[in-house]
Amino acid sequence: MIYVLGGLTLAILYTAAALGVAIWQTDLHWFGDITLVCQVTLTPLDQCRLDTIAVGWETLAGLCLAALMLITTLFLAQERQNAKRWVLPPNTFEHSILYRLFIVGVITLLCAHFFTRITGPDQLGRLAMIEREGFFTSLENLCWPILLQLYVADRSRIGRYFALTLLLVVASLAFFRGTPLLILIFGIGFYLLDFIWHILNRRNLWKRYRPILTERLIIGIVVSLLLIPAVITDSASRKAYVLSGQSTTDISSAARQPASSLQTSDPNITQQPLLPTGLGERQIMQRIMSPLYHASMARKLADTVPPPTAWDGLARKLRLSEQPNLNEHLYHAIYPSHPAGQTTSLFFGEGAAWSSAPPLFWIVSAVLFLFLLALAGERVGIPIGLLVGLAIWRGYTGGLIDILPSLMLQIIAITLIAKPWMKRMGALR
Amino acid sequence: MKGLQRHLLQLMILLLIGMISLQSTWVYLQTDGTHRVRVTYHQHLPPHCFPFEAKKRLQKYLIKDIPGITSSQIVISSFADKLYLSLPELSKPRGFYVNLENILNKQIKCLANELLPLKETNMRQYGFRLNQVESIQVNSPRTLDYVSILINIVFCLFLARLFLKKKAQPPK
Repeated sequence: MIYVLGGLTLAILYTAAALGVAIWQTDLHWFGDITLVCQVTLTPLDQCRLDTIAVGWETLAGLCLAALMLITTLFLAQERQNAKRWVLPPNTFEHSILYRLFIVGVITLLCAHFFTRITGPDQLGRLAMIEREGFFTSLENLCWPILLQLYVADRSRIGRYFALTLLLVVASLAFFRGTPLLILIFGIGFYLLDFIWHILNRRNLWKRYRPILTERLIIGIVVSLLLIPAVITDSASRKAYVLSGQSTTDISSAARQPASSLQTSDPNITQQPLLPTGLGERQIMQRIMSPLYHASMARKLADTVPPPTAWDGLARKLRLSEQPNLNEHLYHAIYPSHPAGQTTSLFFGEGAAWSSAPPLFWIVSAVLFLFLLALAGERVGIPIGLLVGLAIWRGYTGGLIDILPSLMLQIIAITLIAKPWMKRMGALR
Repeated sequence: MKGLQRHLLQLMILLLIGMISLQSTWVYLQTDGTHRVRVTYHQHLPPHCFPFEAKKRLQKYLIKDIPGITSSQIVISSFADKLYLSLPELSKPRGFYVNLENILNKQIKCLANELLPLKETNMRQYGFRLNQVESIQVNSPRTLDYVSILINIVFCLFLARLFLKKKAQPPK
């Protein structure tokens, strides 16, 4: 359950950071993308900022209420959990046929992706590459949480190393920094925390667990040394790419369009310099604040333009429909000339667009739903804690409906891989 | 410890029941069939032009013309080359909205004015044209409301079961 709590803690910390930046940054003129978001609802920047701060407080309140409920429930159900979880014999999936098939599938996918990458044109821009390799990225996004779950649940050293190796390949092929970062946070950070927590609860077994802890620490350090420099290098190249003017979003739009006239209609307003200093810092701040502004926009836009329904969103995710989902609809409202993309409108945006009650109710309910799912998994002995923890984080940014189809597919995959083998091993009642 | 746990559980169950009641009442109260008018205008504006001024002018006109309407009840957005205006249901003839169109077109002032100074002749090709006036039902309960209430009820039942189990355990 540490993964579930971890996912929720990440969401709370992120909201607090975004809210802090939104309160702190009173002058929005140079945040180009945020200016565009405010323009959709024709709201003056000051008013837009105040509305967004209100959204931030409501989101934070909803997440904290949900966290309070989760912690209290876990505290109350603690005895039962400890007794059950740690009587399980070692989980290992390497003898499961479906596990082998899954691994072969992932290796084939990674090889195909790698082959497409190296045979493609060299000078293709980042957006064009994302579009070209979108099919592989989607499948990898579906697979890597399963690999990560297998990695943390597998007690066989070979199985763990194998899953980790594949995860590193996925991280190296990923276009988005979020993938390696999430692998680091959930696969290394929370994985260690989980283990330390259980050692603390069983002090007399310290000697037995010490080698495993040492191994996890070494793996953690090695993987961090591999991934963190990669993320830093990627960020530096991304900044150069943005400054070169090839990027069609991000801060470049700020450099193109000073938004002074949104604030005031005074034609005598002084123009600010086109390339301000501190571009990198502003880009980071804009990135942190954007989800709150997207959520605020989702609420206002839903009052005038009917948003796509939840069913549209589900069908789109399952590739059964060409209709845009909510986040694509919002993206299209901000960037009408861009071919494709998605916003991050949070649980809040989803609640605001599809519910008549205040979004706070939906934020609490969505987290409770995922928590119930994790409890159910634990009860039947299927390790899905990490999948649900990741789903809380990803759902928090994109909405529950957005992640539900992939989460269900991942849970089915883990059930098929883990359950028959664990049953044979006598792990299940 | 057991006593504290039971009290905590009771508190949680009460909190959830409160949430469910509040949400259900809210959703029930919304089923009053409130209608709004949605007016859509085709936008023909220069590139990078955002009709920010349009909002101010519309709001000013509407508030002046219709007593009782407040600026927060007027929602305006710009999406896919259209200007959307949403108002509480008013019994106004179509001519009223055509008049709004004229007001909008009297002076198109937008972001482009400062970035791309346009000549008077070029400005004439731009403007707003009334597209549609429709009545829409708003605030009707939606699927997500029922899903949300259902999740809270299931979680409440789960906690109640936990509570009953704790209560049934003999004190150590």
